[in-house]
Amino acid sequence: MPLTLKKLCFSYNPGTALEKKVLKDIDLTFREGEFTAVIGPTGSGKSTLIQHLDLLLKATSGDLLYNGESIYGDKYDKKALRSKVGLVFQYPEYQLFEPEVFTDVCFGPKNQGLSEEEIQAGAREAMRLVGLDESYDTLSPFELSGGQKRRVAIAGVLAMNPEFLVLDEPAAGLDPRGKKELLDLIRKLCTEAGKGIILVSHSMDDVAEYADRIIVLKDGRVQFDDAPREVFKHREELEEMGLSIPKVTQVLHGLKERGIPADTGLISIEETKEEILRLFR
Amino acid sequence: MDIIQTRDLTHDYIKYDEDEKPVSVRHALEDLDLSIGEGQFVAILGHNGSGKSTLAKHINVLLLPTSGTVHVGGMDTSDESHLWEIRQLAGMVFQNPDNQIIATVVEEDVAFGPENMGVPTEELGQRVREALETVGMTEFAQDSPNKLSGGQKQRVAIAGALAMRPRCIVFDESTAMLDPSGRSEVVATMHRLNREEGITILLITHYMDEAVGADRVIVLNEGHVAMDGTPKEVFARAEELSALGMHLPKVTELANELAAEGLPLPTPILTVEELVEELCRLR
Repeated sequence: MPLTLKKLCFSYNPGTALEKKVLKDIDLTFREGEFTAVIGPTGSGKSTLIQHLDLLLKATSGDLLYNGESIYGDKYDKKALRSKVGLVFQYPEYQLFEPEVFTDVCFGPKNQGLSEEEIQAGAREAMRLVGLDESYDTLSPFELSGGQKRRVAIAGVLAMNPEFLVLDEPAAGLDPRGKKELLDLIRKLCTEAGKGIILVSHSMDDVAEYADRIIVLKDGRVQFDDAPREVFKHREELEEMGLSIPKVTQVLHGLKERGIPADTGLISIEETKEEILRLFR
Repeated sequence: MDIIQTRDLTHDYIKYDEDEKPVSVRHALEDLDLSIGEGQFVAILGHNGSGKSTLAKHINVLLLPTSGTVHVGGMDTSDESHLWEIRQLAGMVFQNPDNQIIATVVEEDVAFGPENMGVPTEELGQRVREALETVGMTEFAQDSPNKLSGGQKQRVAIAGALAMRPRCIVFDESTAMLDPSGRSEVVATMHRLNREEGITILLITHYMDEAVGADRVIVLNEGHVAMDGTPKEVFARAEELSALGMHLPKVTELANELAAEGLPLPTPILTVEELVEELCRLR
């Protein structure tokens, strides 16, 4: 079911002299099965935006609709929404607290009032989705590598069977292999399990490679909302914001500046290679 | 002269059970021999658990060797009488800016280290001013650190290290939590300190692009030095790097694929500018 933000605004200290507007008139729709990346400089409102999706913050004005229905209504079952939208914070491994992996993954569904069987089945499915088999069940989270701990934390959220998975910089601090494995996993959760992915990232190369859609926030407003290829055409605006374009696209721009008619609208290694071969062979 | 020298450095993390009997031993570093010349800019790569941070903690005497020795500025780290001198000489900047800023005003935070060392007030003011100027944060001297961006906070943390007048600074994944502009701010600051102040830089990072600008790249694996050379030398060994869980910078990967398709490019190519230059030469 789609999740829609309508003219959503958020301020700290609203209506006072200290009012600080963080989000301004945000209109966005998130869909299941879509991989959306949210990028923007520090302070642009990325974290504030995603905290609205899980009702950790409530809009100062505007509306948030789930399947067309306002979730700010008095009668709305907010707890049910929280199980539809799973939020994975930065460094989620700090939130693992049970002595064993499987019990930690069971914690979320346990609070949903399910039967013991349903809880176990949900947790088992979540572990399967993140690629951890039963041999991990009784390990202590502290015995796992950084990448594995993050998988457990993500499984804990998936065990609630959400439709959307919201992740704040999920790969920060992981080594290159751990990072690639995690991003591949998130892509798979989108493509194969049909989850809507909303991912906050600082890495332009990563979002170019993995996302279907990129939302660029600037000073609390949506500056761009389009396919990666279209968004990265706005090189100058992005650089002005302190963001950048993928490295391979930079090469194409460099060639164009030297008078070589390169197509600067390409963002993957593969297509950049073809373009350069076309120009130079 | 070598500012850092390790000889047969071994560090074991030992896990104890409830009766304080050792149950398992993990060798984080094993017989590591490493010499870092003063004034070098060294990038240290390696997958999680390869020993990078353990090595960093030995340089700042947060850890002592299980066996072997570490000398910093010629002083043995296991000789307790040198402890404060070594910590003054080798500064450290960690990953999370929020975990290393303690004061409520920027300049007080920068002053914290030297003040504890007993630096007289007049000199203290001078040191703080110079340090903030070096990292380009003078205008924020009176501000509260919690109003700063991540990149700015890290520059305050660097100023705090600088105020100790160190000869060497270890950056332990200090850019991991920053956005692209914050990262380039901090990396540019490291290079300036190295170039203009002659400070030895040890940069522990997972970003291959950051290693490209170093004088020397060391890749650690299972507590050993797996590779050690200039960025060109190290990034020329693509297959070995990949086996160690590292990857090439994106531009290098692109250039390699072009070379494999028959374009006569020298390999490895490490930067966007270099690739553009070499391609234009082919015309």
